Amino acid sequence: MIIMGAGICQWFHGDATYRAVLALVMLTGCMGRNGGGWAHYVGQEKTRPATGWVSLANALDWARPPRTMIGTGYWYMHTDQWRQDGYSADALKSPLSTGALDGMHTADAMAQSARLGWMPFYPQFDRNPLDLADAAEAAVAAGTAKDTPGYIADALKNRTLNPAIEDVDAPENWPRTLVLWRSNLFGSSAKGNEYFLRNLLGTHNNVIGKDHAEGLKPRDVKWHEQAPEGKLDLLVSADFRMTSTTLLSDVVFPAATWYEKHDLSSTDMHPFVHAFTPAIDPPWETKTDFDTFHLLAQEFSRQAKTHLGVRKDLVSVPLQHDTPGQLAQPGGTVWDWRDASIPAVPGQNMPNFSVVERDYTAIADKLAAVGPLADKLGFTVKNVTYRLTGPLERLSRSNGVMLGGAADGRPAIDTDAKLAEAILAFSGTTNGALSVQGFKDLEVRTGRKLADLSEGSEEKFITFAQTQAGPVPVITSPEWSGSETGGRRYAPFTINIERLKPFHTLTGRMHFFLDHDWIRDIGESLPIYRPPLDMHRLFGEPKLGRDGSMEVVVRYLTPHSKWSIHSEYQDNLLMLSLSRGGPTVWMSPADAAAIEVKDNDWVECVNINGVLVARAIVSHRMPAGVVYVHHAQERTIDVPKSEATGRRGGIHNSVTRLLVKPSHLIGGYAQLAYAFNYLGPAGNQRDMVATVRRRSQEVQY
Amino acid sequence: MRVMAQMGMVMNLDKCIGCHTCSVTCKQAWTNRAGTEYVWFNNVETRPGQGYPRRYEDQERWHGGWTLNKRGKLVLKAGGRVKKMLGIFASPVQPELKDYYEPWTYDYKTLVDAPLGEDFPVARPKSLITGEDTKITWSANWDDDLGGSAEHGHLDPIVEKVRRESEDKIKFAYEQTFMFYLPRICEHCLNPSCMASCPSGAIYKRVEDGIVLVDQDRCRGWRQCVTGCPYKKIYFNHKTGKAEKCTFCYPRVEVGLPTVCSETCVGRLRYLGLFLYDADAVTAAAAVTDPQELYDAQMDVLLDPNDPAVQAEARA
Repeated sequence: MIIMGAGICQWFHGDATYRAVLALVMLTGCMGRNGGGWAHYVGQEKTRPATGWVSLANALDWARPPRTMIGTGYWYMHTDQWRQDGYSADALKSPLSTGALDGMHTADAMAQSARLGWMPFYPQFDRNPLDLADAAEAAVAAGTAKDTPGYIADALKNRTLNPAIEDVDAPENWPRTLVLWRSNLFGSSAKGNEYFLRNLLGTHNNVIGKDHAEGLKPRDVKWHEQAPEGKLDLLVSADFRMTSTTLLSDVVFPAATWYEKHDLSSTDMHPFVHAFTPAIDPPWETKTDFDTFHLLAQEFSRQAKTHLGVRKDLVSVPLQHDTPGQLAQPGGTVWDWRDASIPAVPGQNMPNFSVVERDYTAIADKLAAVGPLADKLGFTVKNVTYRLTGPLERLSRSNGVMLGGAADGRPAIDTDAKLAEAILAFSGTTNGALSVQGFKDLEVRTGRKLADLSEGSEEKFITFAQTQAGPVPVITSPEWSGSETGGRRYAPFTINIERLKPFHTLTGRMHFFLDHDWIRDIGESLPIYRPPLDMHRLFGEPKLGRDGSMEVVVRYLTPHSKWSIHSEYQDNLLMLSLSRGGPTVWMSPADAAAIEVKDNDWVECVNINGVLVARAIVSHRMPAGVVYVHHAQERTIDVPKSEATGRRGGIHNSVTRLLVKPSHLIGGYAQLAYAFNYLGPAGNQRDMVATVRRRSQEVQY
Repeated sequence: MRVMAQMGMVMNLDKCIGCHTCSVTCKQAWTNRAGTEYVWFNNVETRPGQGYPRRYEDQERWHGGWTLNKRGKLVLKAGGRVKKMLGIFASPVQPELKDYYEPWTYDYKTLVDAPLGEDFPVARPKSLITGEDTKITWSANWDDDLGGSAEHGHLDPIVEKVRRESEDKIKFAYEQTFMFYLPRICEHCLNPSCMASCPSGAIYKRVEDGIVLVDQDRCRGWRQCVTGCPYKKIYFNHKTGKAEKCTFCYPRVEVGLPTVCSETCVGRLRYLGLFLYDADAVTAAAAVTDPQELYDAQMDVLLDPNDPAVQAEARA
């Protein structure tokens, strides 16, 4: 058995390492075996009650399709980190390449991926999608277009309409508002933090490098001589601590803590569903995130009576996994409609275009109730559709129904506890009847015996009250690939291996071999070894190692500390009293000696992305050539001004930026197809190098 | 045979992940007060490492615990009654602030109150002793996870001893790295040297469960107990001028609840229970001359609660 942490996925070639791990367990025949196979313990979390969660989170009971996005791609483009990448994707190519990636900047790869329907990108076009829907409707009515998707495809093809990503720095394509909750973006997770500060927020920043103007510029994405700064108009956050993010926010909503609200907790790392149960009510003006969003929705709906009303919205979504779209591009051939000889066909070599009617005045009503599409269409996960008549009836009885408004008579989810109840009711893992129905449908499709995995659980229905009494083990369900039947522990893919349920791949089997054009051209058709990037050759960063001067160039790693995954706890006074009391850099004795650094000396880690000021922890636990800057050390506690820029030193992610591996952007091809929270580009920052210097020990604040 | 009961705690060190939850919850429950900022009834040390306070195991320096005199009799290492009486007004041998650490806080208010400025506001460290700006140079757990081993690792008294006896067998090299975590509370000793050191008789061992406590009304702040404890698990409250120590959470134990450190332990590595021992046998067991025999001698002090003889004696 190989248990992996999240670290692998944060290396540029993490996918190659990942495939090597999978190849090992496949070659030894232990995939899908208890005690064998592949497992992970952090970084790729899914919720156990998957169907209820993903469907209600995306409001699939009221309108489809939703917009979901790849976070890495979004921030890579909108914070202008792409402008630092003056290299061509063909730097990665194999000698046998046929040239599919030649001359392409990573931003071009992103743009091509979006326009071919591989990965999502928002905003979609250089025009308001509400106006666009109206224009399309008018054209169809006037007989100048066959249908709306055809209208959009034609407009894109003749360039009267353009994808927003192709001029991502144009003001009409900037993100304007950002709402953060349960997130400390600017103190923790924002890889390339200083670019977020400069380009997104337009505030104090420590970006040191110039945009890579001399290097390769993108072919398809427009280059502005001056990158925009301060794209965002409004930053809103909800938190219960003063973090780097709330320091930067225009509006901060005081948030309730875990001990002041109802919620569910589950991961795929253990087979239980837990409840969060409030010990006290939220004190003072704090509110649960549930209440905060409902209050916002109510005010939004009130103002929408004047400002938006009911509109049609044009939504483009990529070709998704477990849908017919994943067979749209056979052979994994790049079939780009930008080529004059290739037609533009929605849902085949471009995204699917749909029109969704939005009653903006009814947002609050809809948020508080389960909508009619749940009855009409059911909820679908991994291409298994769960029919919800039974659960909806029971939910109406247990939760009651809403009276009046847009959701009149619909099952109520107007409190956090009721929403938790609904999530449990709509998921096979927590509702045995749904699991059995799902497996029976799968039996018809696969010809394999499966329903016995959950038969006998038809009456089993995990309620929120049960989860409050104690952690409740989940039911084996088609939402997952492992079996827990008969008290077995979960191991991934046991159902595929033991019952020969096809894997969700091109062949229905496990794959060593991938034959997509891009994969072939970078020479990764089979799992191979890929070392960390040569940041010197690719990006002109200094060479690794010591050159006799008073600085050393090291691999700059940002693992989780043993005391925190992201922000919380490690920086409270007690935990800081049990450690070094502020930001630290772990260094090897050899590297420290080379630059005459002693334990607890102030040092600076610098590269073109920014600067971190911290105190050194010198330990033989560290190998030479690597430093650790533990995750989520924020600029709020004991961070002095830097010598490098004269400004306050940054956070751990001030010295990183996103690097995107183009092959992660492949979509529309069997298992290489987009799915929300399943497949998309990893945010790679581990290949970063930084120069460490001893600085003046007289620090200024 | 004199049958006595003792509350005991067994810690499975294999399970300790060094998360310090025990230390934090203990501190929140018992020592989150002025005068006890530096006091950690429970702490978790990384070994190799100096521990808290620094080098507390170096009894040549701190004179803690017991030793055998020339006649083979168990006496306090810090000296007998006469010696103690003669020196009672002198400051006892005890760790100072630099051996613990200078506790601090942060100027958190700045984060909320700072006016619009040219740079991000930041909370600077402030000494909790002087109230002034400070640079943090030591903490309650400075060498966590072998941090600073290059400079401080050799100061671990155990490392010193092993190196002396094994010709530098312990090397601090990346390929040979080893470490483990050592959670520590008061041992609630069967023969407490703190109790024996106290000139005021303020420290007592409870008859019913062996928990060692400081009577706050009788403590006169002589601090001889701080010297006497070889584990440095008695602390001096500099606001009240009295000694304080781990109480084994007796108000919780008395009503059937586990200690705070046990209940909040993430690895569930602490096991609590009552055992019986022969109080008459303690001194002899502690006076064994060959250190190799100490373990067996101490095990022999424990009594089998199912032994009819022990039961009869206990009822007597």
